Amino acid sequence: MKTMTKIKWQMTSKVLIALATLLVLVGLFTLIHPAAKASPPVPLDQSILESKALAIAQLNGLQGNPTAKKVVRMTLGEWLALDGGELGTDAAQIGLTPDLPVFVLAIRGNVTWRGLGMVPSNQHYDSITVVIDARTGEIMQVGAGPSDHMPVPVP
Amino acid sequence: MKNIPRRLLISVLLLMTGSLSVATPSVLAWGEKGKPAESHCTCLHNATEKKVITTWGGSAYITFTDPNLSGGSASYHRVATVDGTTGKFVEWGWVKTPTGFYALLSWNNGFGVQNRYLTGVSRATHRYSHQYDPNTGNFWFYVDGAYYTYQNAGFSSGTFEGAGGEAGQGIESFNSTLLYDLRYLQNTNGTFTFVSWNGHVNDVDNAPYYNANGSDSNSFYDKRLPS
Repeated sequence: MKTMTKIKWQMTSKVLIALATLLVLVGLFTLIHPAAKASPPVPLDQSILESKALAIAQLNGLQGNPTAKKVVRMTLGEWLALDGGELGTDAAQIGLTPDLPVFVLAIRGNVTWRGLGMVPSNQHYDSITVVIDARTGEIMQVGAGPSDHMPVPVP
Repeated sequence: MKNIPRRLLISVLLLMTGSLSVATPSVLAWGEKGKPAESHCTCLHNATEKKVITTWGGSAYITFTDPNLSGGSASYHRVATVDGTTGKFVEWGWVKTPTGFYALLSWNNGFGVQNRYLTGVSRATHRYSHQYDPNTGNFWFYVDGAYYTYQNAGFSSGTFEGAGGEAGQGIESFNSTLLYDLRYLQNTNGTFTFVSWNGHVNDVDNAPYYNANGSDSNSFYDKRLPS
């Protein structure tokens, strides 16, 4: 009986050791192999993206809550075309391509500019627009100005 | 002996947890909103130099010194072409914020101000250049000669070239970021040439920030007085 139990334990040990070895190898492969890391990030849902974009708007000067807002999804190329810009021929070197999905939050509201640039301190505007990477939520652009010149008009 | 499988199982689970863990998403943090004692306001603080001349673009090497944000929002170092009569401008350089390091393009086309953040540029010394293109009416932006983006900024030439640091709230460090080999873009009958300029002429000094001369007549450090 004791011998049977011993054999059982030995077999269980061997199976677990094999399983552990397999998992360690898979783990190491995931850590080391670049292709294993290259899987695209899970897209963030609308509420998370909007919350991130709103936080960026507030950090850059939106006072209180928006009086009106509009959310638009588009590609980076489409956004830049709306805003009078375009990617350069070497932009892909830093991971920027025209087909990259972006999330745009256009806001009407009371804005006291807290972003960067040679503008007078506490410059007031009535709109602010935030563009973030729709896959990661990372900031791509923020800008404020008169609401009748918004790249994405808000009714 | 009986404990071996259990230990193995725990080890396996720990390994799985370790190998499957992913980086948590970055969290935005803006730091303290209180007015720092040595700052004149919780607002932008500049320390810039200038060259008053008709200019169609600018260029400089800007070192990366990983300044401490001290709970603030941004430490930003750039070269700018400014139309002093209309307030329109383009700026190009790098910024460190609580969420990361970016090349930053800022501009004002007469209808507000825009900040475009570009990821993927390494945290190192680079030459940041921008120049007006008369064929398209846009400014083109380069890092070490690589062309990353263009932008219509609603003007062509500026009345002065500027360069220097800007802090988001007045509490951030500049950490002796060096701007050197400063140049402005000269237009002689349609021929555009980058020309060196003396970067030591003060433009704006919002205490406690200031610029200190570099090793030659065309370089300077962005600095901040100790708090």
